Amino acid sequence: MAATDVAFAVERSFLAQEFLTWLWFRTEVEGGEFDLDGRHVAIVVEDSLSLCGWDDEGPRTSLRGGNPTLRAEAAGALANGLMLHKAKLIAAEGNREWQFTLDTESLDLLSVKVPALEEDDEVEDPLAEKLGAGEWLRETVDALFESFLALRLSGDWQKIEVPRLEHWVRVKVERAHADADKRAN
Amino acid sequence: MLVGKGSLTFRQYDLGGKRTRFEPEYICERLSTFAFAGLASGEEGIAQGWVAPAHLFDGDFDKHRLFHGPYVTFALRIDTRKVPASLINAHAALEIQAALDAEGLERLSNRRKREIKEEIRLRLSEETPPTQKAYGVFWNLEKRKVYLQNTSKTVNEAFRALFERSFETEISPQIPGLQAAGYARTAGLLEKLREVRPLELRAAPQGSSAPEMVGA
Repeated sequence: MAATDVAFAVERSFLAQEFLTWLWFRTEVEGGEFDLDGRHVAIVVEDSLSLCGWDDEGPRTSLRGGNPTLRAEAAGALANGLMLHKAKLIAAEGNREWQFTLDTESLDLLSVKVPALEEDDEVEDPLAEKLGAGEWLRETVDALFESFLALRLSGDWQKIEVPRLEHWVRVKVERAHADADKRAN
Repeated sequence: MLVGKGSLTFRQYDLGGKRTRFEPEYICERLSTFAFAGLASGEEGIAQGWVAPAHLFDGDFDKHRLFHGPYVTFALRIDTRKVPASLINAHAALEIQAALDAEGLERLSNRRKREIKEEIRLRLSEETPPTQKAYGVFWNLEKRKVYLQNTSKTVNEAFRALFERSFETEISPQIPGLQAAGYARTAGLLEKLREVRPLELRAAPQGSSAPEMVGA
């Protein structure tokens, strides 16, 4: 790999953070269901949100527990231009469910809990089954990232998707304010 | 078991290079050639090599134990022995004082101090066990993907270098920018990718409506 290729790639690492933020937006606004070449996959952004901006020295926010995606701090962070850097997610296909953490620094999958085998599952090699389940998740996240890239590199991104993202942020901020007013009264 | 135990944390590598097939016999032979050999007694530094997947001392690279469905499984073992400098200095201070008292001197030469320190370092190295760690590897031969169950920079650099040397091939880690470049190249969108700049996300002004969604 040439040094120029690496530099080119490193300069575009921000796309991973945009991807995770977009995934969060899509899970909240469209229910998080994706059709990936005929595979029907659902994604939920669950917990342990870490948000930061493009400036390394800039503000950071970490939110854990108590539905952090719905909290006022999350809405405020987005409205201030912070993007989702790391989060705990759930992926599901049929009745199988994976829990994992996605780190946008590298798009590595961390602490992946694959679906447990049922007692009546006849599995020839449980280790191969488990590794296969881990690899399924890797491929799914890669496919989602490519879906995002297809949109990100299209004209629809600036024309349609960015205004929708900004609208989503506004709605989140307004909801957070309304909830705060309700609590104050 | 070093591979696939507990929850999985892993980094993906794409297998490049010119070699198109990796025979099981070749893989087992290369793992044996680059098997973990360890640090000599009292030797400071780092030693690394492959172990079979059962445990830290598993050196049995039998293909029937390594192959699980489409995966070859083994582990990277890294041992490190380093005597902390603060410990050497503390022992040295005591021994230098003892030598001054015994010989009735006010100070020792720098050469003598160095000798004392070196003797202490060797003695403590003999007494210090190495830290022993192993990281699972699973390799999907059909899909030409290799996974290392660790995400630290140091371990991944050591893994990549040893893997490439062992199997006379090249692997490249999946990082978001490279993945994006790979996608854009295939889709003929490299120029578009060159132009993208980080999104400056803000809340939409009040009263604006959201456009209709686009597919994903």
